[in-house]
Order: sequence, then C-alpha cells, then structure tokens
Amino acid sequence: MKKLFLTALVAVSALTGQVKASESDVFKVNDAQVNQEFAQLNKIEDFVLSHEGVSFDEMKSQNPELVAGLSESPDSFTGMGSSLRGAGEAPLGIPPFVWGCVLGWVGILIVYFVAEDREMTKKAFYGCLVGGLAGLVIYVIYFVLIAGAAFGSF
Amino acid sequence: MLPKAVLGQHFFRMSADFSIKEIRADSSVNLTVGKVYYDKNIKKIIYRVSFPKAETWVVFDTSVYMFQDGKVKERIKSSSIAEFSIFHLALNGDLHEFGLKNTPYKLSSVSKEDSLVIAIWKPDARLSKAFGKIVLSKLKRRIYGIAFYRPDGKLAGRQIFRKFTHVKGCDFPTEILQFQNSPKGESKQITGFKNIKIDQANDPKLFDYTLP
Repeated sequence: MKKLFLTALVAVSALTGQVKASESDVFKVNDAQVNQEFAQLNKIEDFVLSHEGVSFDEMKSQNPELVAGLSESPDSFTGMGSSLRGAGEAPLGIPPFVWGCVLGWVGILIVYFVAEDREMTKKAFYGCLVGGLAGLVIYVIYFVLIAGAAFGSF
Repeated sequence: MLPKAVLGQHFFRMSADFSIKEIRADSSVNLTVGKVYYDKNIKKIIYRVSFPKAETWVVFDTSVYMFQDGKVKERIKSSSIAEFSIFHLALNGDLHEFGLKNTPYKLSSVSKEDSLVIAIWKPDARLSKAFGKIVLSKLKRRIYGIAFYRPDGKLAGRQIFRKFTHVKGCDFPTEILQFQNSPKGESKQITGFKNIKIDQANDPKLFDYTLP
C-alpha cells in the first residue's frame, strides 16, 4: 500500500512538473547545437570580414562551395528588436473602422499598435467618431422618450 | 525616485559594425554585413549594408526604405519603430526592461528562477485580445532574454542577449540570438555588433538620410 502511494505521489509530481513549466525555460538554449548549426555561416562571415568589400558574386566565383545555399538577397531584417515586415494588416482581420466604432479609443490604440498603418488608424478614428455620434443620438432619443413619457403622465 | 539624469548618463548617438546570420524555417541561410548608425534626435536607423549587396536601409516612422545606388528600391511597412529599437533603448538606458514601461503593458509579476529575475508584463485587459504577454528575464541587472507570446498563449518569438560590452558607460549587446516562430516553422538568427562607438564626433551626415 505504502509502495503504491509513493508511486502515485511520484507520478503526480512528475505530471505536475511537466504541466507547470517554469517561465525561465523559454530562455534555455542548447548553445552547442546553435553553434553547430551556425558553423557554416560563421565561416562565411569570417571570409567576408577578412575580404573587405567582397560582393556575393565575387565570392561565388572565388569560393563557390562556401556560399552554397546562401541567399543572394540581404536579410529580411527580422531582428533588431522586432520584425520589420508583417505590419499593415488589420488586427484579427477585423476592419479598423469596426475597431474604432465598437471599442472607441481602445480600438484606435489596438489598430495603431498592431497594424501600424496611418490610414488604418485614421479609419479607426472615424469609426470611433461614428460610434460616439451614434451613442449620442441614441442617448438623445432615449432622453426625449423618457422626458416625453414623464410630461405625458402629468 | 531619482531622475534618470542622476541615475545614469544619457547618450545620443551610436554606430557599429553589424552582422546578421540567419537560418530560415525552410533551411535557407543568409548573411548580411554592414554598418549601422543611429542618432536618437533624428530617429532614423540607417543600415549601410555591404554584403551580399551594397544597399542602404533606413527605418523611419513605420516604414523601411531600401535604397540601391541612391534610388528607392523598395518601401515596406514596418512593425518596428526607432523608439523601441535596441539602439534607442540602449542610449536611453532603458534596455534592461525593453522600454515596456512606456507601452500599454503593465508589470504583472516578478520572481526569481535560478539566477534569472523573471518579469511578466501583460497588456491592459481590453487589449488582451490583440496582444499576448511578454516575459522578460534579467541576469545581473542586465536584460538576458525576452519572449513574446500571442494572445492565445503560444510563443511567437524570443531573443537571448548572449554577450554585452560596456562603452563609455553605455551597456550594449554584442550578440543577440533570436528565434522566430511562424506557420512555416522556427527561424534562428544571430545578430552581432562590433566596433561600437557611442557619441563619437563622426560626420553628422552618416546619421541622417534624405527620404523621398
């Protein structure tokens, strides 16, 4: 019985450990594997740095086996903090006007930060204005109806 | 609370030699080498690429302009802005928290795991449908890593700041390892910086570029 209880305890602990991963796990990196993967690129980098001004085409003619598989276009710059590409799409595929109309200034902020597109932000702003005006009209109608009902009862 | 000016020196410009080594999800590889210039008063990040082709890239506002032989080759929309680049953050001494204090993100929790201090930043509840949490780790008061999550909790990408240098009192990373997840798979990138110069009296023209 004691053995069964211990086995169950160990199993539960192992399962809990698996489910509740530590936040720091995401920062663990297998350095040896990364260094191995980048070994060829390191060689190419050393060559480029030791031959100042060398172009891809020159390198290809001088050392074709070294550049095998290397892209001729400069990097798409996914680095330096965040992606340079991929902006300009409406957040969650929802039109920016709707973001502004439904969520007001929060919607404008979402469009501004996610799409990072002035035109889209402008549409979200118009949406916010229309949403605000619609709210005002509804409020005025509601007030008129309430006031009318109140005066009508006298 | 002491003002920043008392806590640390502020810097205004920097330049460096850079290299970006990338292994894409489709296994193709890429190397980009050149020099980068940034002046936080001008707010244009200028990459003068020398390999594989001579090109100049200018990041300004929410656009990246790519010039070849002085002519615009391409202009793309960017989700990166100069104020959140490592250059701007490092010059302002804000790299240790990645400038998150000045965003709609709020610090949710701080804990210590092994030698790392882990800070979890979450967006305002009303923004949580569009933004996921950001986990930031520090090692000996310097940023060690940052992980970006999607609103559904899946990891979007992570960066590890592997090496640092200290120039004129300014901390700057010299090697950043980045992993980016996409539907095609994971791409890996190592960005390196050498010959870092802070507040040097270079030709001011190097830090600006006339845009169309």
